Amino acid sequence: MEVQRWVLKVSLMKNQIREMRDKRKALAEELGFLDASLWLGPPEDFPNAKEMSFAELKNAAEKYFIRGGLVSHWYGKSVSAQESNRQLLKAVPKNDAKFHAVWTGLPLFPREQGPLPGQSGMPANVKAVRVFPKTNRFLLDKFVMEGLCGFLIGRRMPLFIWHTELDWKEFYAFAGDFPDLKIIVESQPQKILYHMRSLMPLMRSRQNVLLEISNFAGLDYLEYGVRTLGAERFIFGSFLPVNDPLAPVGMILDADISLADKRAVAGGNLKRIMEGVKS
Amino acid sequence: MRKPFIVDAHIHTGASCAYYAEKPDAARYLELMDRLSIERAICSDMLSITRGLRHGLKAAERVFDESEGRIFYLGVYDPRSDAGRIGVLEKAAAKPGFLGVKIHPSFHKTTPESALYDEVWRFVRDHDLTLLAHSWSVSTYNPAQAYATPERFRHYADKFPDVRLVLAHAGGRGNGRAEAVRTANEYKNVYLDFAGDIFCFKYLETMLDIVPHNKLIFGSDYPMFDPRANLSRVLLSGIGETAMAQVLCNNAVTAYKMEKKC
Repeated sequence: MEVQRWVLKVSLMKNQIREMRDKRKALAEELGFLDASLWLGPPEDFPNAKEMSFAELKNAAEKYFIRGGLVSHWYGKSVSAQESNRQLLKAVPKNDAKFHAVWTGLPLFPREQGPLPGQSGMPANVKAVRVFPKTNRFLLDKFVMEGLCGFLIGRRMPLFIWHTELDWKEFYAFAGDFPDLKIIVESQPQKILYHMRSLMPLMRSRQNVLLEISNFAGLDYLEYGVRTLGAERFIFGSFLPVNDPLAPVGMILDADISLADKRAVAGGNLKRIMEGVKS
Repeated sequence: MRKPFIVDAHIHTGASCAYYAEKPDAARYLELMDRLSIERAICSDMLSITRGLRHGLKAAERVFDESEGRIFYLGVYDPRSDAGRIGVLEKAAAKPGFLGVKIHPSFHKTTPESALYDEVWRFVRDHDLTLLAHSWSVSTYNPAQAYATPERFRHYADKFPDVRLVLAHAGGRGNGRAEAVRTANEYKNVYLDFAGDIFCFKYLETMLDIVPHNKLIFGSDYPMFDPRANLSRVLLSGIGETAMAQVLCNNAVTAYKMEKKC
């Protein structure tokens, strides 16, 4: 009798699991995600993560409802900006309509050998630039950054930055110095939830700052962000192949926000930004 | 009508000085339980973690009652302040919502091998309860995690082989994972929960290839993390419906001996 009861319970559970899974899957297919955080090269400080080739990355992304996005290279953090950009030149096909590159940038003065943003030879499939000011040892300050930021504003190209690469006070001033520059703060590679009490007021004050949400998984964070700042301020990212895309996918699918807002966060916002970039 | 069936085996209630959560209380969690088909949860409250055993138990009992028996709880034993006060746990053990004890060597800055933990292992063994232990990998930016690497729990697991031990966070994101897996494979009564931001790519598929399917337990780490992040990771993973049922419900029921409490 006990065994029969147990079998029945498991069978009911499986029916519910199927129903919950199918509902989420249908919505995820409908949303069709665009990913701001896809990575080539050997991940640093994540011993369980495996490096993927561009083809493997694209294939993995597609299995997780990701239809396109921006591809970066770990060498930008672990080797040099130039080597990262060189790797991306080789790996990301220039004619790929869905997957584009994020180059790593440095201040334009003093001039350094390329390939670097702000110099000739940057291909049209580069849709964004990332800086690592702490790693590359420069200040995120107007007198250092005005060359690169001027170049990006001219091209309507966004600037990406990991939250671990900035100091909030310095960043507040920096974002204010360049109000026409879209700056996307990235929630990786450590917990951004410890910085929420600084991040949210900063985003309220600096309308040009957006957030990539692969690690924005605190309680009700997405709903609160959309409610107080607007859906247009949040950009889907997976941090693949280090992270599971299903964590941020799940946060969007189950969020108590409108379908239009889900569409915007899942891909609409990034699509608009990428389409606005001038080659 | 859809009946909740999921067990979230790792939650907290209460605000934290370290991170922001708009409504970190049991009331918000109950709303999410209803929305997400979560039937039961196992909670160690923030006040007990930060202030010790005597401070949070009453509130945890109240939450159990107010949730109509859905939010079970653990006593949190801080060896720095609770040593010699096992009587508090003795009283709690008689209550219907009490499932065991949580220890947090990193937060309490006490090595898992410390003799101070002996009485709590003895207590859970004698009362046929479950011990939840925070575990993680060595971390460059959080050095206190070195207190809680999984292999350090073998010291007492060897002495108390009958105790059901759940290694919270399954050793974390780094090298601790491999040791957690080894421990779960070698010790009959060691389970792993993946609460928190162990958001590693293909985590469930990888783990279920290397640990028995009855050992891996769903948890959210609410309110630090939203249960919705880990829930879709299970439901949309490639692990199959039977394994999902085990991970989302059955394994926690076994590890925390909840059958009698249903």
